[in-house]
Amino acid sequence: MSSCTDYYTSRRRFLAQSAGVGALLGMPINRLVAAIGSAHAPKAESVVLFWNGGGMSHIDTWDPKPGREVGGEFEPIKTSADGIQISEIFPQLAKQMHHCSIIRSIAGTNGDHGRATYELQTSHPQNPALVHPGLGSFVINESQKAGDLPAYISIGGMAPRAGYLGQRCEAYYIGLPGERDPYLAFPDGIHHTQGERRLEVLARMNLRTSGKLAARDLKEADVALKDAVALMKSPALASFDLDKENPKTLERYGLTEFGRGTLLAKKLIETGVRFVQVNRGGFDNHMDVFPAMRNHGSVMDPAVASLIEDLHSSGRLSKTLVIMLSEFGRTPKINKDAGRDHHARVFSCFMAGGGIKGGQVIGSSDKDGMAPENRPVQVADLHASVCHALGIDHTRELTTPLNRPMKLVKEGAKPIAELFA
Amino acid sequence: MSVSERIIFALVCSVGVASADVDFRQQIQPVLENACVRCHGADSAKGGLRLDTKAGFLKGGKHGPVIDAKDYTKSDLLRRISLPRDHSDIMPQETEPLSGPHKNWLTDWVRTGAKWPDGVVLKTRKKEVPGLAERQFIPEKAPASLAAAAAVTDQILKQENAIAKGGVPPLAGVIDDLAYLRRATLDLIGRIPTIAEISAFERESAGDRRAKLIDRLLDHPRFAERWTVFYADMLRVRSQQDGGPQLLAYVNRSVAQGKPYDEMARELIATNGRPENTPAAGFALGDAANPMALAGATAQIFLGVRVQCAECHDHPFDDWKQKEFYELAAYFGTIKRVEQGKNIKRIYTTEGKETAVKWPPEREQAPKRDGVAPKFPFEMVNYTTKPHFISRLEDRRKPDTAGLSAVAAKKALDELVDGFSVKQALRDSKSEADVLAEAKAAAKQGDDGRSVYVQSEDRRKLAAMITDPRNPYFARAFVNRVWAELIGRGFIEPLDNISAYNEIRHPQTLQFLAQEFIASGYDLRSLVKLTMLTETYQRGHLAAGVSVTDVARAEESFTATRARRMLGEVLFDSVSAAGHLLTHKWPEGANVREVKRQIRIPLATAAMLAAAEDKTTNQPAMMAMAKPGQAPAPYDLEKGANLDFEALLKPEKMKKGEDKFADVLTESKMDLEMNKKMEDDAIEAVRQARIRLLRSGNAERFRLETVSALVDDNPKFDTTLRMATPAPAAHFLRVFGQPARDNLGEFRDESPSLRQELMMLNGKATHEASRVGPLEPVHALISGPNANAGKAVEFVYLEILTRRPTAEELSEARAVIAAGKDPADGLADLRWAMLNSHEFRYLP
Repeated sequence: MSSCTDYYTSRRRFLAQSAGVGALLGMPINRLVAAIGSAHAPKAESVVLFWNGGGMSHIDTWDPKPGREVGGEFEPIKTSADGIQISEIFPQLAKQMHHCSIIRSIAGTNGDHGRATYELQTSHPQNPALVHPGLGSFVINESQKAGDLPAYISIGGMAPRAGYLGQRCEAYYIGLPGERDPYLAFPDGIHHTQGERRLEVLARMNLRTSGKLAARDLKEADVALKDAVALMKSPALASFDLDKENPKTLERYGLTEFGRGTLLAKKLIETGVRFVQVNRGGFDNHMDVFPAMRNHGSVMDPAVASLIEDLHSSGRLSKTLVIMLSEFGRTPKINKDAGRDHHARVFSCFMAGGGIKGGQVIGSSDKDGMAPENRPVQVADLHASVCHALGIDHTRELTTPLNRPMKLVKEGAKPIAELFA
Repeated sequence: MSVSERIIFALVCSVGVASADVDFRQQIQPVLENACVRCHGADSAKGGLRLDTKAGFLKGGKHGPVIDAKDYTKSDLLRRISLPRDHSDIMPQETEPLSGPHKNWLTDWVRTGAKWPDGVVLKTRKKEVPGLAERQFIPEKAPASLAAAAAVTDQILKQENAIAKGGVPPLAGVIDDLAYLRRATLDLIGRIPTIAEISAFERESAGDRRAKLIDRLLDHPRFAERWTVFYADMLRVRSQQDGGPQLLAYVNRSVAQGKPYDEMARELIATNGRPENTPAAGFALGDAANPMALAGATAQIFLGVRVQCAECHDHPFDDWKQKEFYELAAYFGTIKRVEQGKNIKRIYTTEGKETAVKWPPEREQAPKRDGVAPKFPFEMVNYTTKPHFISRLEDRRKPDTAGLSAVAAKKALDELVDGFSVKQALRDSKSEADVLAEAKAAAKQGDDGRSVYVQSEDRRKLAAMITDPRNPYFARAFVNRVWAELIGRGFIEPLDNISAYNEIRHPQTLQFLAQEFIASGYDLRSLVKLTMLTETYQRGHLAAGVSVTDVARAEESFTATRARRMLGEVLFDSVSAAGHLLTHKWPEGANVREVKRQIRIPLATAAMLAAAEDKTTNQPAMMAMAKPGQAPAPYDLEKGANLDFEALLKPEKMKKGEDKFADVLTESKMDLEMNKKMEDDAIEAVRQARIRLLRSGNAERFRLETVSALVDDNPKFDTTLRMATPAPAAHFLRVFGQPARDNLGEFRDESPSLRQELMMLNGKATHEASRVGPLEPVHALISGPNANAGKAVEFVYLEILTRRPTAEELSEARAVIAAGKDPADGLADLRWAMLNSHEFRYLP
């Protein structure tokens, strides 16, 4: 399957494609060749992005501050990685830390939900003149689709938009994991043979129209229709189903939407989906942050830890980059409502798999978690790192349909070398 | 130019096309002035290089001379302009790289000696209003009627195409009557025509049936619904924002009433207040009453100019300076958004004391920042004699100015524009009793918690200048949008990017239409009618087999229309209309079936959940998206709605017996009453219950259970034109390209997608629309004593595709009907295919 901007061919792409570039491992060969020269050979083929909307408190999760007034209710616990401690709300993840990297020194600049979310999801500051594609969209734009399932799937929430990359780079949306999506099969009452007959009639009608009109969109519409029918018939659809899962597995990931969503993400990755985004909200805890985080821990911990464990035991962890992001952190100072407010000056994120080095902490914040102390990391460096893990050139320039050149990732971003050392 | 076109053009040009002698004034001067002199001229000489004078040019800069006299191919000027885009040495730096032809001109010029005529000094291109320079095709006199104006429009367009470079693109024919009926009905009332409407149309005499059709449709109640969508997109109405629902209702009513566009614009720009009382205030609240955001939005929406980039730095590729942006923002400098009330929030805008817009910008961290004085950065056009379109506007609005002296007439014009008053707007929106109280409240200033809606004199002035008929952007920007809506492509693309650097191919056609729009009193219906009477609107598409380049050229020149896809709202409503789903088409009890659903049963106790529930919400009912325990029904993503706009616009009821003046206090009293409803204790109780629930570890856990019920699933759908907008993400409308409207410059996306196909192929609307219900007209043709398959086929082709079937289609359709388990079922197969076909979705 071709990638998204197939129609809006930029001049470079036009030339590159006409040179007859083939693909290997889901990536165009010319890019693989480019990567050989660099020190790090890309290992990751897929990404699972956990998007935590609202601004997840960094102190109560990845960057505990024991003994300080800002430390709050939770104590740090030891992990499977020497010398690394994380919040007690993640006991199972603590056992997986040897696979994971934590970055504690992200230096953000935006404390507004809208703008910060935009920046964390696209790497660019929000610009009224255009919509930048989200991380998932531009990742799948750069790679080939494998199999019948959509290359980019968003679970439990809307993914950021594909912006100027157009509809074909939009995520396929799954609201409730495991729930039968009525749009993936003929409606009740229409049996298989009748459905097939209907599709034939439709194909004949469309053939007649295509013969009449020069509309370029009709070709794209034909492709979309073909993809839809292929998807409906694909055995890979079984991946969407959670009913046949071992009840113990479901219990292990947690009997919550998030747990089921994470399990679904694993299954989708196994079928070749390139980018799965698992969305979760409820992190904007201006009030009562500790009960909220306790709840988040009880829901996220079993799910994400099981995911990492299962990916590892099936040998897929090095090929799957797991990353957890939020738009900013929360104030170290606890407010009068027992909550924490927005804090963008420093916050953390979590990564595992995909060829990154496990069991390490990169950067640090000061003793109260107010500002970065060592090795500050720019937000866009995160996106550059994801690209690097996948072997994508993050400095590449795309051309929007309006002929405006746009950098894939914000100018000046650099992959975080320590992740890949 | 499209990308592919650029490539071909550039390739052609770069293959050493024989060069005539280079004309400095026509070719080199414009290129240098546009691309170089800004940074290498009198104001600024980067790298010590000046390219605005002969001496400076010959001297060169710190890197030496730009021309190599011995070997021209080694000239640094030529090297730099030919570098790849991301090369750090490329010139120009601050704007788009030079196009192929421009590079060739410079190359040829250098090669032939780089002759610079003596005494010619170049100047930076001044910020000029694009597209007004030439007027030779615009007739002097006013057209006699809308039909005459339409003919003039076609004429000017043809003349502008004739002088354009590149030869005449292929011309498509004019569409036939039924195709016109379908197109016009979709464009004006947002659904396909019914059988009755087709018959009525065909009964009219051939000569004027199209014009009569337009008049009928303009009067139809759905016209307002369909064009509310247009405005909602343009103004970025979001029902979830403060004042969003009221703003939507206001727009709908304004369209229904035929409120002049300039009047609406003035109200939106200048009104402060509470949306429940003065719904136009919702516009400012949509951007959280932020002066910077409002400046950018106002300019882009109403003037079609993108100044937003200048918020942070001098515009990189246009002429707006950062200071100018701040001066524009200063008109909104004192706006204040106020949020009151603990449980039921009341939000409104008013004016504060100090301006929030200060210079230098915050980022520079200057020791002292001063308030910026507002200044309008857009130039007005100076007319030495009053043009006829302004006279006609005045005549329309003040019929008794006839016979006034010239001075009085000018005064009349100024008053015309200044005539808008807040009192008027308030009067329009509420009953008299409330107006008096409102005005008194507005006059008072109080710090004791009384709400005060102060209006802004600066914004009133801004609104007046923006809507002044001498403002060259306002009318043209709007005409451009309406033209694009109806034809599929604007005169200026993107629609909100009027700029000296964005070529307008048909400036005179646009200007003529803008003049007529102003003369009509900024009347939307007149503009729409005029457009739809032109031959240009009635052009068909080019056949398959025409080259991509020719198609692109034809579309840009309007010699052929592009095949537009229906808007998501229109598509859904058309499926409903085609399938007779707006009313029940099955008798009661005919659709009883067992419906199985998997529901989620929370593991937390019902009591715990209820205690923790947050009961405060002001928003009108919207679709509930997934919450633990509350899954939406499977086909909720296809639901329409029927918002009661009238209810949203009703002013708040006053308590009986209360003194008129006391309703100022009603505001604060209401707050107290609300507080009484939910005592602090109760609030705290809910809070504690939430904490307990969160700590229990069960807040989100659930188990699944399959429940089944016997349901009479008798399908009936609502229109999607009266829903809260934008629809929830993943809803049919969003999947079909409805924009989220958070950002400026977001337009409808017509590109096809996998999800769109799935929703149409397997969606409930399409399925139910296909089924033949006993209560719908075609039923009698397909079953029962008078069944006639041929007639049924003709009927459905008319009803669904607004045309009659060909002989081939007729025989194929009969075969499809015969192949079904019974004729009605076979007909359902046929209708399903028709609803899913490209022909259904794309306009003829």
